[in-house]
Amino acid sequence: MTMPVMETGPGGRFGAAAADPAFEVAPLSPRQVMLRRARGHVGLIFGATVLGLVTLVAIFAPYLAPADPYAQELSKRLIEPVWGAHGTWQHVFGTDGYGRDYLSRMIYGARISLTIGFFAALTSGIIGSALGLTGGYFGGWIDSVVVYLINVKLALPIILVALALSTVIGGSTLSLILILGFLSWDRFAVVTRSLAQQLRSSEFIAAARAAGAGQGRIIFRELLPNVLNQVIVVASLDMALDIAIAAVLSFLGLGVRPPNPDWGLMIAEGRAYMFFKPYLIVLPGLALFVLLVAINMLGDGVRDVTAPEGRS
Amino acid sequence: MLRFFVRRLIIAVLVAITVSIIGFALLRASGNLAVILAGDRATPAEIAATAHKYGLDRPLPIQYLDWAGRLVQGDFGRSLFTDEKVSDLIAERIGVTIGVAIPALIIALVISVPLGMVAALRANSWVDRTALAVAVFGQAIPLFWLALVLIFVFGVMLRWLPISGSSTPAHFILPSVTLAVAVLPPFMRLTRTGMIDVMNSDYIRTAWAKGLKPGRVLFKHALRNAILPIVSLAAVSLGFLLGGSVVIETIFALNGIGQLAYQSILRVDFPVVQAILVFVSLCYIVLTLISDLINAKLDPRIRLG
Amino acid sequence: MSAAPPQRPVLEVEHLSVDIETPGGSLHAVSDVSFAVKAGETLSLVGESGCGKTITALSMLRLAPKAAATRAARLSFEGQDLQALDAGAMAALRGDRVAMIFQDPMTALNPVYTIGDQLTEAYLAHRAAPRREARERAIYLLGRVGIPDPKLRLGQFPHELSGGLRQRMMIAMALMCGPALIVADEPTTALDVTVQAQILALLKDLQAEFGMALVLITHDLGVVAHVADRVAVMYAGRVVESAAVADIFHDPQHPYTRGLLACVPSVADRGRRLGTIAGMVPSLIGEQSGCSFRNRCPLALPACAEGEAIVLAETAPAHEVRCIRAPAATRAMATGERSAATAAAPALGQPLLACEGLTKLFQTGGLFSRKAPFTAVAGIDLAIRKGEVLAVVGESGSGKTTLGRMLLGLLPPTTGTIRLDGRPLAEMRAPEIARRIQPVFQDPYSSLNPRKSVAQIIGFPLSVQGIGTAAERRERVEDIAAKVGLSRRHLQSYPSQMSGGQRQRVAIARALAVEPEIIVLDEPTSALDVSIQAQILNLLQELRERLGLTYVFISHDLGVVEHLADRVAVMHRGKVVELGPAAAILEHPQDPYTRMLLDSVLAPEPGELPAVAARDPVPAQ
Repeated sequence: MTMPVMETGPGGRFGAAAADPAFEVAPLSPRQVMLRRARGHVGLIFGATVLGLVTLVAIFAPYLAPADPYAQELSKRLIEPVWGAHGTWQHVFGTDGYGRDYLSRMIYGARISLTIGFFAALTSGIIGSALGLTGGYFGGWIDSVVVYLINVKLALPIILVALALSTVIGGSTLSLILILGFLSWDRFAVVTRSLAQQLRSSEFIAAARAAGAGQGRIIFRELLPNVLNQVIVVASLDMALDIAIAAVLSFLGLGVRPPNPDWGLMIAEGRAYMFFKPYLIVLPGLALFVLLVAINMLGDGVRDVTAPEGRS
Repeated sequence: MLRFFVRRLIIAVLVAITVSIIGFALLRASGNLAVILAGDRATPAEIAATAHKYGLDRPLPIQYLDWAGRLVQGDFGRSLFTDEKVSDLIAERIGVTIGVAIPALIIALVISVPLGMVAALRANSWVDRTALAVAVFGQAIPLFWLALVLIFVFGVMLRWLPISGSSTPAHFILPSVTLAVAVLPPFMRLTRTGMIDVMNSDYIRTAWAKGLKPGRVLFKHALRNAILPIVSLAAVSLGFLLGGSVVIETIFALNGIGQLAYQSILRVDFPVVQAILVFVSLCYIVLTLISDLINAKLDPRIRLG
Repeated sequence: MSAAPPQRPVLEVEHLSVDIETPGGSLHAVSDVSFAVKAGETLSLVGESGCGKTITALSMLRLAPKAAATRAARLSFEGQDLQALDAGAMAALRGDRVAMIFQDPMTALNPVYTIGDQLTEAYLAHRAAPRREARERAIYLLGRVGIPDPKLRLGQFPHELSGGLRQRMMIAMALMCGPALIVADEPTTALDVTVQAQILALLKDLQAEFGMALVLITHDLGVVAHVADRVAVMYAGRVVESAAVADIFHDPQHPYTRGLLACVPSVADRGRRLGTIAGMVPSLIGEQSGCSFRNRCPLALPACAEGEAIVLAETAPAHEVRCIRAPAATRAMATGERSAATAAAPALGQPLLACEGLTKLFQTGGLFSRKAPFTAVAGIDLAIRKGEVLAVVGESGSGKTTLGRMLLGLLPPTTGTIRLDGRPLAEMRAPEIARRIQPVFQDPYSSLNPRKSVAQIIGFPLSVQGIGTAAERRERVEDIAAKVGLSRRHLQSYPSQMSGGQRQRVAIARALAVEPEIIVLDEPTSALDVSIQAQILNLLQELRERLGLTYVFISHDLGVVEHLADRVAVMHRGKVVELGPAAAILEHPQDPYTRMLLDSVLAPEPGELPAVAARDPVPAQ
């Protein structure tokens, strides 16, 4: 008997390789591993389900809302919700100080929060990732400029600047998206920059360069797919932050303007009645809280699921 | 060490200059100052005269340098409404803001660091799950809403604590606790992940292999390394807490920096807003500089690197 | 090897098993491991990655992760039953009577404490001695392990020392309390070969001086041959063969031991194929039966798969083997009988790639701190001829990788020119260079984009270059994959599903995709286990012959170089100190550095450690 050695001839060896246990691959692809982990992650499932439901509610608001969220009926002011004293099924969540159906306003409120959160996170995600990837990948003076921009951004008090800007450019949904988008890109930049720095010295980047790939191709086709998971994690946390700040601005009267049904604004409007009609602040506050919990859990879940082996 | 400090200082100064330019630009973007200053019924000639009086007809870079020059000498300008010096306004109110900021930071640290540590040492235990729940709660709860709920529960229902104003130490309890909830989650997460990383490191295995007692391994070898990022985060958090939380000070009727900023924004008193913006940024810049120095002191790799 | 006087062993381990609970079931990391070490004796636990050698050492000192459940029939140290000790008593032994030395002295030392603090810590904890006394002993030991200016070192931090000095310091730290046993886990794996020889010599010296028992864990058969008295070869969590060092190397009786030895490249098999071990380590999760090596064993019989795990049996005095066919059948299994020598090296052609006066300086520090530039390559003239294998040999920091990156056109030289067929590389566009020169890198885990399938990875250079239609590219990818021994099935997998050796095959296939003339191989096998390394080296050799490739083979491993290279360039501090035909350089080195490098190589043949002069530079402040 001799040790099995590789034969020099072009014949049998390649055929034999397929049956050789050394050439077995692990059965699960990375995506399958991720899905398997996701199925067992309670927080992720909860977060995704709640966020999905709220999104559906926002999209189908006109079909779901029992009444016009702007229609005032002064004879029906401050009706308690169905579980309160004199509550009726006509106004399940009661009415506000102008007699508007609270449930309908809550349903439409989801639209505003999600729109602002999603597009603001998208804006800051694009700005931050672009800066972070360029700085981290190219290094040198380009990176110094990016680090400097991040430092400037971090030194700005976000709420104060947002408040000031919203008095200057107004409180429309679009201006809120832009304000928040341009004020919360720092975390994207920090995360993508450090990832790009790690990946820059990876041998697969060197191999891509050695294959003759250009910088653009390397950044978009090699780097970006490898940072996408973490960008999604940051995006979810950032979306939660944007929604919260938008609510603060609205609460302070400098965000979404009346009579729009924004949850933060509804809490501000309900504040005058909070001691005897607490549902006016409890309901929109709870809606905000549940939405933000869901988004945060989704973000945590994505991080756990996509973490490298043994680090979840 | 000196070279490290000088490098950080240069960056800090550059950032400060940029922030002041942003503040200045924000003031200019808010509208024609001369129109505001000259009053509602001013004629174009009066407006032009006002502009000339305040130097607003000069080129913007000159105006900026003039303003920045006075800023460096501690002259933050005057309020458009009360004509008080902004530096006096800030000095008057910083005490209240500090009175909320420091307790908030202490509460957050006292809860989050031990909790994060235990969570890291007992990963996936009930402590870990609780810590995670606390972090998610703190991240997700809208601050102004939490403030209102706390007011309702402790001020109105239980009547334990005052809910408005800043006349006694008790007035600071609810605002501090509310802010603590907001700044707590990142500390918790950072302590936990930092501690997990450190406990899995080779030098902790070395410490065990030396036969050191668990307390010594934990507190001497692990915590010292895990604490490094916490220092930076504490500086950042304190920087922002010193800027005053607009929403908390408004809800609890605390006469601090945040409240001042908010009122000034509402009445378009932009010299004050601008000054506060620069002041808060400077607080942040100085504190991060200090934290860099503390870290350099704690970590020889930074100091000598 | 010094013969130990008959006495009671310092450490006795009998039937040690370690199980780790995983979601997929119980992982039998260590099964039925027994050994004993006497004072003054060195036992080596040797095996490839994942064989359980480290966890064995950690679990007997109760340093293994909590999830690892340890059982043993007997675990005794200096007559004490370790399993009966409580956590406190166990801790009292560690660092005092038993000390450990770890692989990577950079990460094994706490970065924020001074060397003095870390050295004296265990002494103070175990001895209740005055600080002064601990300090004096630390200074004495630092001097003893060959660290210059020991007093000065006490105030320094680990990152201020070079790798070699740090490992010396780890040794001094282990000796502080005068232990009876030292467990060293790959103590020289992270070090350069010249430093390795010094550190091992130091360890042996100190062992003789203090009469300690030493358990040396390593994957390196050369280290084993020169340091160990007894050897336990581990495979799949079990000791498959245990014998005196001479018997392991001269009369190996387990098929795995024999296969392992045949895999080690050396000058003896220049131009031949190496022996390989087919297959891979079986899963250690779930019930284990029969012989765990049977699926890779050329001697396996149906009986090898049956019944309880096979036990270690004594085949000769103090020689135990876990194989039912030993020793008769295994001795007959001729490992020397490798495949016949292949065709002689092709006639050398014209210079294909030539560099002249090549230097590379790196500017360190950022925008605000300029430091003196670091010279990585300091003037190199080199011509690579068509069809040859030119090995570039050097230790870490010699500039060999920087040279490789410049040859690939990835780094622009600071001065000097590189010409490909007479044309300056600097004047060529990246895709043009790429079509003719391709790389294979060291780390099979970072050299493949984890987000791409194997087919995409191999086809990447083709799509970058826009070669062929999608269908043609697909066909070409399949063709190349077959050449490197990957099947159609592999093409749809992702790198994370593959083993290190498979990944390196993918990297080689990617390099071959555009049919380049030159391949720059930067340490292509140094991250692989020796049996996998043999497969890859054989593949590289075969591809070269079939495709007429030219290799620039960058390596620190002289054994591999001896095996593969036609010519050798020895690099030291950015310069080529010696260049010439492999046989000439390896047999008659002229340069003192080359001589030292060759002297430091530990061949897998029992013998004395080479005497290599201490050469650790005192780091600049």
